[in-house]
Amino acid sequence: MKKYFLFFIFISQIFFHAPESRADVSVQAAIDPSRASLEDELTLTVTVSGSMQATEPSLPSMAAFKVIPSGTSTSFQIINGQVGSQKAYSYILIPTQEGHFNMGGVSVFLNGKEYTSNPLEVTISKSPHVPSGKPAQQPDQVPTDEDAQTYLDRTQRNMADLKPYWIEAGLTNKNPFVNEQILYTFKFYTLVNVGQAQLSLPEFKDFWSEEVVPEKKYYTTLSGQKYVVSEKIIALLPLRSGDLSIPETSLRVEVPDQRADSFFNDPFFRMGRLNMRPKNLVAPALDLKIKPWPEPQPPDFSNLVGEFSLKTSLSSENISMDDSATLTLEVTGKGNIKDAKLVLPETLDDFKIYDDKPALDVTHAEDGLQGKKVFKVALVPQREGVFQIPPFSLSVLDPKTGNYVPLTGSPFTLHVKGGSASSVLPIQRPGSDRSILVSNEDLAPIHDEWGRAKAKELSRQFLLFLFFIPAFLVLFVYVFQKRKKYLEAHENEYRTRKALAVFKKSMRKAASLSDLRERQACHLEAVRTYVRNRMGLEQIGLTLQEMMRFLETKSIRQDKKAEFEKILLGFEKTCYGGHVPQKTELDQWAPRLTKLIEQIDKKL
Amino acid sequence: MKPYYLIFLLILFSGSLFADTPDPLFIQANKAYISKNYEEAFQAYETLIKKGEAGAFVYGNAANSAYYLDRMGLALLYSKKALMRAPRDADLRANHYFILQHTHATNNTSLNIESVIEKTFFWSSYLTGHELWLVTLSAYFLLCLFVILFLVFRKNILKKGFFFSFILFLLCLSGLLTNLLFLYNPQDHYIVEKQVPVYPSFVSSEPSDVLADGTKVRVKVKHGMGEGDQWLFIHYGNGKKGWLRSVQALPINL
Repeated sequence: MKKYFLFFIFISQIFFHAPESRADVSVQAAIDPSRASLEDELTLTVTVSGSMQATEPSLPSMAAFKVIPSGTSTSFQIINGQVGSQKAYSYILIPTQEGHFNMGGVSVFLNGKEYTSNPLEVTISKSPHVPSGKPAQQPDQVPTDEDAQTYLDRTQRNMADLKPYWIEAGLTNKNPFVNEQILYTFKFYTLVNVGQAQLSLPEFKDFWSEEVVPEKKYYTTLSGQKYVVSEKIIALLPLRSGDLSIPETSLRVEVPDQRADSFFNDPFFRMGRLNMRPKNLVAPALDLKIKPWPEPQPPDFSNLVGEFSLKTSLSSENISMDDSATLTLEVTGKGNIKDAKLVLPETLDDFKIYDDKPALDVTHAEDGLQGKKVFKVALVPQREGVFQIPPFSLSVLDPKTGNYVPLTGSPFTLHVKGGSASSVLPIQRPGSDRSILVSNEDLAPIHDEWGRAKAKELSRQFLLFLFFIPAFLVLFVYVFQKRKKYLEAHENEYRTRKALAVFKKSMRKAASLSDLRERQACHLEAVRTYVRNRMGLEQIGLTLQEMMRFLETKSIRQDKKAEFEKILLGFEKTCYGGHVPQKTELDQWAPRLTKLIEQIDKKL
Repeated sequence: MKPYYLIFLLILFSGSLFADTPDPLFIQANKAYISKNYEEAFQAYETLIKKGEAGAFVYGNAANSAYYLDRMGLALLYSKKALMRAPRDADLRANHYFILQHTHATNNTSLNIESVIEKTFFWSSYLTGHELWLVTLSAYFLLCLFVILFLVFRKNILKKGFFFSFILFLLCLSGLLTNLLFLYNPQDHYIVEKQVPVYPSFVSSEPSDVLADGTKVRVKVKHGMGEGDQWLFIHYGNGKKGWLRSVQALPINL
């Protein structure tokens, strides 16, 4: 009881003294560390002492930081009998600008009164990992191709002299044509083991983008140091001409905390685990100047910009009127192969032309997207004869020279013989011949039958239920057969067991008879059957003497035997002697006999 | 005897007697398809499918339209659904394998043992699920009949009948199980969006893999509150696992 009392006093001290302590409300704010680089994350802690009722802190303007709330904590303390409370609010600050920042204090409000903390002060220096010279990344300077190619080497050399980890983002070409493939490369160099990393890629607005190398890791040696490099490559295709920009790329990564400010930071005390701290590494934005396609464009320009080749083939040069020939055009190369389109010649009046959906096979390689696009055209002749299929051609833009290059296939001669021109049904009708479109080269036509559109099916539950019916039937037949067999083998035993039941049933049947003589005969027969069944005898038509002999062998009381004999004698006289007993006597015989048989059966 | 014949004929041709007139939307969709307006055709076929009135050919036509729209996942899904409903239709079968050949997705979700079983009981793919149930049920009835006859008459000839009907039943049952577990497993889904990221867990921000549309995946767990916004834990490739959004993969057998 005493313990509960003390606990109660303790709790009341906390709560009832709280209003008293409101008078001593104080707000403290601290940024840790007070000097940091653009890569670091800072922690702002606002501690409100003396009251739990104050509003949430109102932070001063922090335009140079990205502020992320990271939680609150509460604590109570009793010092010399005085109860105090503290509430701490934590924020993560991610610097976005360098410089020295004098910010105001943090405010909280309690009962309409404002309490302000000490002013905040922090110095953010340039990222130590960014080299002083960034020739290819100045926003106001569009680099040449040569700059872009040598950029990575130069930055690597500069950076390697400086830091154990950094990121960089670069482009293979900053002055491409519209639709020309360029590669965006992100690289993360590190000398140390890092923890979790989260990459935020820029939004490639005004570009069609496709990842070609998801992530590749390898080692590289720079200034005698062996770095691990994680690389990601994305193929970009500019969608419009003009000045475009790719925003900055950032990587939030946990790196080992090198600050040896504590004796216990030693790996020995941390069981071999390193103390990690997050770093925000940023690669600057990239500016490009996209060139438009040169004018005039040839009419067969296929939207392709890059290095491409064309190969054509014809499935057969001799066909009949009922047949078709397939012309295959295969465009292969490196670049925006997906955009390739086929311009059909207008000089094929003697043929119906059915173009298939092009087959595309694109591979992702370190040097970008490459592959082939195969166009197939079915040529259905409309008349007999020898026809010249002119060479298909298309033009591509060579980005190196800035000129359009024509790609031309081979011409073909097609011999069409005999048969009657067949029209191709766009829809497969029942019973119609298979059209030319149905082949391994295209889809079979659609169906216009509606009759089979609706499906009528039995429910799954009903089908499962049907499985049980024959099983039950088999079980029933099995049990029935077993029982039948058993009865056949144990007939006498069965008769003995069922003797009393059979007797009672016969007596009930006899009671329903209206003719007196018939009823007595039935009673007599019931007794005979009982004795026969009970004794296991085959003999029928037992006499009274034979039945009495049966009783003699059993230990039945004498008076019962006498009564039994008297009743049976009465029945015999009624049946065979013409004696008509009194009605009261007759009414007593049947129940009495039943009772006697029951008593005898028990004795047996 | 005459009325029995009439009832039999009525049942046999009941499908023809009560055949539906085509839905106007079906006709409209077919016209759009012929005029190469595949987007409109696909929308119309999908409406019919959503109305629940779609049979094999509506699914098949929708698959053709999706193929020409370069939506390979949906093309594969609908062609498979069409094949489920009319497995002996040569056009639908040809179209399904054609689309399968032209998709760049890898569909090797099946373990090797599964493909062996599928090849062994290949005939089961020529029957619909419902037909397989009926065939299996008939074989089962025959087997039970022989058991009953043997129990009653105990003739040796019935033992032979029992043996053959047992073999027949096992064959049918194997086909049914192949159909249910491998060919049209309710857990099998097709990726229906292009370049679907797969995450190592549904709270991860970095995808572990990217799947192309038409990739066959097997959904093991569904996580989430609503039907429309769930995370699916999938097995794909050979032993690969990951999470993706439920709207990005649709079930084949539904």
